[in-house]
Amino acid sequence: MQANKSSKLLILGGIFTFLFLYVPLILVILYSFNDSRIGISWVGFTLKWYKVLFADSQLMSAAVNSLIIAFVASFFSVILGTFAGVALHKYKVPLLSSLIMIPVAAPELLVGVALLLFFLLINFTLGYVSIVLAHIAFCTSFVTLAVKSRMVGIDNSIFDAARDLGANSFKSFYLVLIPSILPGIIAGGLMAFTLSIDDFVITFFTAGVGSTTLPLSIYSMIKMGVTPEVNAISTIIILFTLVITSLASKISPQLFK
Amino acid sequence: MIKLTEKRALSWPPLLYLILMFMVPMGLMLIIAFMEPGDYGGVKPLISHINGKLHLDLNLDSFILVFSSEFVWQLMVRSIIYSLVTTIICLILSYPLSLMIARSAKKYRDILLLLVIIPFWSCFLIRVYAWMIILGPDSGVTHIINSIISVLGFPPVNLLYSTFAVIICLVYVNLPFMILPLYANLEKHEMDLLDAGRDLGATRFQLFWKVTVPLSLPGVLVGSALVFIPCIGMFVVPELVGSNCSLMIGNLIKQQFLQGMNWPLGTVTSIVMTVSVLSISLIVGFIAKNSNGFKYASK
Amino acid sequence: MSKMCLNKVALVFIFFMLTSFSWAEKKFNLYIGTNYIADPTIARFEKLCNCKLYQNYFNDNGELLAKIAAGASGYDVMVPTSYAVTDLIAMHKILPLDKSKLPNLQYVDKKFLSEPYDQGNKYSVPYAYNPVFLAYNVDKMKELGINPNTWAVVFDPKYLVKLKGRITMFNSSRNVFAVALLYLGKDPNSTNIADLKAAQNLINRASPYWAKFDSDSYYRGLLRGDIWVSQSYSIDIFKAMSDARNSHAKITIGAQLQKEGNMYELDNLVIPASTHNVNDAYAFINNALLPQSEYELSNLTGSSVPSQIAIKRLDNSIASLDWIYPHDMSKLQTFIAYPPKIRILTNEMWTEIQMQCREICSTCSYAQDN
Repeated sequence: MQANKSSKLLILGGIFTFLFLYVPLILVILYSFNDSRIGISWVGFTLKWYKVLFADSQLMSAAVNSLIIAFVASFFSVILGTFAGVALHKYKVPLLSSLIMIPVAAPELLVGVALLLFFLLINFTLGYVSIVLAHIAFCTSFVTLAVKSRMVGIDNSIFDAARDLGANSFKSFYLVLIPSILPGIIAGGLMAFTLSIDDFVITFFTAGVGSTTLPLSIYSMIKMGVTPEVNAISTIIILFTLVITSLASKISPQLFK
Repeated sequence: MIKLTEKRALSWPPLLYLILMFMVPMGLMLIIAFMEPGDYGGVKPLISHINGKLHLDLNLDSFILVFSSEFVWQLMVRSIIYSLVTTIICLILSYPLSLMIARSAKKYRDILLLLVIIPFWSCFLIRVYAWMIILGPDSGVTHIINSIISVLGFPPVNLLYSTFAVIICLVYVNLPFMILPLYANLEKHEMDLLDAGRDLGATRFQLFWKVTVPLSLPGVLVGSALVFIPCIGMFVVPELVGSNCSLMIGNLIKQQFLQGMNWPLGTVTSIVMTVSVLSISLIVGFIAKNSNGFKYASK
Repeated sequence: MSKMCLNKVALVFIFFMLTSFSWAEKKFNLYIGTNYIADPTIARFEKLCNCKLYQNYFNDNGELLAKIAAGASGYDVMVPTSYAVTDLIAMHKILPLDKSKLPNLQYVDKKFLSEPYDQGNKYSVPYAYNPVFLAYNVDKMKELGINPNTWAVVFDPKYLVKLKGRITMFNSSRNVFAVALLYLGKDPNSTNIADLKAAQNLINRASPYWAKFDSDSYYRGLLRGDIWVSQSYSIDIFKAMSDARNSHAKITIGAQLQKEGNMYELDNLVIPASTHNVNDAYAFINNALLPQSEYELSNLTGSSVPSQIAIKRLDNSIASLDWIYPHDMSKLQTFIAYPPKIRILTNEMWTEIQMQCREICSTCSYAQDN
């Protein structure tokens, strides 16, 4: 496409939106190195907020909680999501396909409140386990979508070939299907991992005593107005997300289409 | 027969789990909506003994309270307006970007797309917090805006803790939900169609307006739903950057569960919210499906 | 190749799951307001119990009650305010105390014991108290000619027009209702529905002038200079003043009790019924009641403590502050629990106050209430 007025306009609009997306995040990263407690005017370069951060044992334990929850939740959601993704590709399961869409399409608040009431009414103590159970549920949806999108490119005849060669259903699943959709599964798992680590709303309603996660700590820090440390922790999370997202897109470019 | 068992083996574990975690809790919500709030939080028992007789305690009190409270409607209407405005702004901001990515060379597309996704995958509290810095009372942006309007003779304004801040943050956290489906649609457009139009003498604007836009309507619709629906239930954004006059329905729901201890009221409000969202989405979807552009695009 | 990859992924997961489960230590969970316990006191307790103390914060007793009522468990000691203790007892959520395990109770001033919210201190022992008053920007008040010695500053339109958008009130129904009732000359613990309605009307008419309901970070607004008057706790203002000193801020924050009277939040140590660490809980309470701990608390956070021994050791710059240790305690009142019906009613009123966006009412007559 040759450069002319309208395509220039298009590029200008696109760049504006990119700036809108990135300037705020870059500001947060810059301010995490600013040597000032109250104001936001630039005082000088410092790494002290990172030191404060790593010395804060409560925040560190929240980070560990987040990592554990994300690992366990993405592990189980990968299993459930792979099953669901394959099932939805091969067969029609109307109820499953609409349940999968709930975390994507319903307000998160509704899911959070419903889960809170559910756990309370069945007398289930809120804590790590309730968070993990809730996270598995919404992560499963996203893994399913990732696996399903990967399945689109698979030639079904290889399963027939496998069956002709004497593989039973289970064998063809494990030996033929899984390896061929592995990139989708891994990308889905990475997606589940980040979604779980970043989730605030559902965790907010299902967390209990001593199971504070990183987003919950960040929320209370923001509410209390503890700004420099929030900048520092945000920077770490943004960089972490950057790595995981690039990894996921390398492994399975289809994920984003 | 083999097929059926494989179908069951694959679909039942996730199906059962999601029924347990999504359908059962939402079903419970429906029941709680008709129950009475307990003296100390929770709900009163469903069945009580009065004079030796079993008595089923279900009533419409919470529904009546919600429907007769002016402020609930105020919040609901405000939430819908905010979400609509957010959706429209997201659409305006996304369209050029999505089109730019879709029309750019293939080798750049993936990296550009990745750049859209990175903010979408990072914690949304951080994204709201970033705007708290930008709009804060002593940020550069606030100083510049206030010095401009003081020249014009207006008193200085507070950017943070305002409706303006709420809308900006809602747009910011939801923007990728619009860009991605829009891109997915625009990318599939056949360039042949545009070439044909050009050969027939159409101007660039005509091509855009008469070919690209109608073809992209399904993408616009999906994107709008993905922005509008989560927007309605937001409570963190108004809580952190809003004023008393920019609270949304989500704040009421959160308040009922975490401060007011009135579960039935919170539940009824959630139901009202969900029903409003669903009916708006259905109406918009219905209108769009019957419009000519959409019919053409889906062929 | 793919199979190997799969095995590797599985291995990594198993590794992380194993390490995650081995990550454990003895924990002690305290449920308390922010900045409400001194570091040396924590250190002494951690040595005593050989555990790690985790603080879980709440900002409003409504939040604490909602959480506990909803079945939250896992806390080992909680620090609720007077009226919340009564509710917790009624909910059977806290344990009766064995006084023989709390020898340090002897150091607590008698006048803070056996309050109406827990006769005979069967379930709770007083920890500290916080007067609730107005803190303000000294220069702005001078400039506007306002003396914030009255609650009228936040309720009377005469003052409100000058302070529009510069006032914060607590995000706490009991606290806001109480000061409205005090201003109206009523009992701040009134359960009379007409009184409560009058208070609600007063609040509704004043709230369009208020910037925010905020009990978390209001003092930062005072420090920044965009908030001029705040309903405040003594500990927050103590911290704000020291922050202002340390950062050489240009803003001077003042604090004063109001002539109509003030509330004070008498906070208590209680043991939740769900704890598995009863012995550690007693050790914690006993340590907190130690005059040394009470001294540290008052000296470092500016809390008012119910211990004469501790107060005598305090520097006069703290002990003589009227808004930390009021000279005339008779003008201060503590909160009494509402009966459930009234609580549900006031909660509904409060929800409406918080959620409804009101316009300033220029035609309303204010005279009738004053």
